[in-house]
Amino acid sequence: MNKNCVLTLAQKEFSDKLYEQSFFVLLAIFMGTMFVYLQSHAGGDNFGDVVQVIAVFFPLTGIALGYDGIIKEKNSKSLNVLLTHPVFRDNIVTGKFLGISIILALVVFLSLIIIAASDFLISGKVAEFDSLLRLLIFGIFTFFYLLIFAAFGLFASVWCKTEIDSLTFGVLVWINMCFAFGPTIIMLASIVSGQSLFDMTEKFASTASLFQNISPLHHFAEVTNGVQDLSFYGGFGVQTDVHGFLDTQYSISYLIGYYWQNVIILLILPFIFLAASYVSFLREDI
Amino acid sequence: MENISNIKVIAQKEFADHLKSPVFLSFTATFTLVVLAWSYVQGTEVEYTLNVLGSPDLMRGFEGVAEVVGRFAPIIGIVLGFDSIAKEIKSSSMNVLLPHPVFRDNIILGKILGSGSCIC
Repeated sequence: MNKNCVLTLAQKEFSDKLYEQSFFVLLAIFMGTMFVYLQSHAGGDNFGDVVQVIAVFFPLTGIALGYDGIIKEKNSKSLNVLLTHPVFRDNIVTGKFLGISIILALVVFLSLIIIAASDFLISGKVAEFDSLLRLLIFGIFTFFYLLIFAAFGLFASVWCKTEIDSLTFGVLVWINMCFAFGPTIIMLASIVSGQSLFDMTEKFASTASLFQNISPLHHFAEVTNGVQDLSFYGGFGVQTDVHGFLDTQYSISYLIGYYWQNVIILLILPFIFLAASYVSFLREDI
Repeated sequence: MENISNIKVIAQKEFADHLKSPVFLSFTATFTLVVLAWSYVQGTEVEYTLNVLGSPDLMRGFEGVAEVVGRFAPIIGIVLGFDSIAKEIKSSSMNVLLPHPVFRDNIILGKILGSGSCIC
């Protein structure tokens, strides 16, 4: 019974988003950015710029998918109608989350398939199973990274009173996480360790690494690129030999062992925000 | 003369509203954090070039800060203006405001002046 409710709600959310213009805008932006960056770097193996654009700017698309999930229903009073049916509140949040996840997966994987296929066709490269598998893994990490922000948007939509507040809250977190975070970490690490960035000491590097653990951007940067931070201003990182899952010098099983902590955090974070949405929504007076 | 006093009252109201608005305050705090952190990083870079390379390049640090201000200040501007009229229309307070002897251009001018004073 419950499973049916969740699936029906997810289906409704999915079809609502699919018919909105924003879905096509999202798909076009995602695909356009990746295509332009990949073509402009054709010949070189520098995928880092594409990853940075995805890491810094695309969380906004995740927030755009989730910010009005619950609040739209609340303000248009359709939530009152929905709740008079035998549907529990947690079913509604789960259904919304599932619907948003499916639409996000569609955007990420559809663009990856089209981009990879066109790249192989244009350049005449031979598609090996290993590189395709690594692209798939990259897609999975991108999906989970964006899902963190979509789940955060959903949480904001439960927590805030108006759609504008919810979007503003999301944008604020995005700016702080993706732009302000890099220089702030350098400043904090410098104050705590008493060393400057340019002293290049072990103490400064370990303090900065410790602070960076609170950011999803850091974990995404580690698994995809092997760098510590991809913040737009003043990212800080220590040179490592392993450059993420796209580094073909190491086998996938070795990389899973090397990055297991980052992978687990990336996979868990969306569900933490989902749990926060549950708690917030169950306690709310509607 | 009456028009000017109308504009002044609306600007004053807009200014006071912005100063108390959590959205404006949180964006201002974020902007301050970005500028502070970036200035700090630039400051350490200038200190490093001064100590190690012996070339006092003080203006370089300021250029970096100016770049960050140039990129982030527009966000504050947009935050100040994005819902000023739409908010009044949606909450129906525009319907209450317009029966008073206040012209539509007075409202727009007042809003711009209020937001402008906030930016100052």
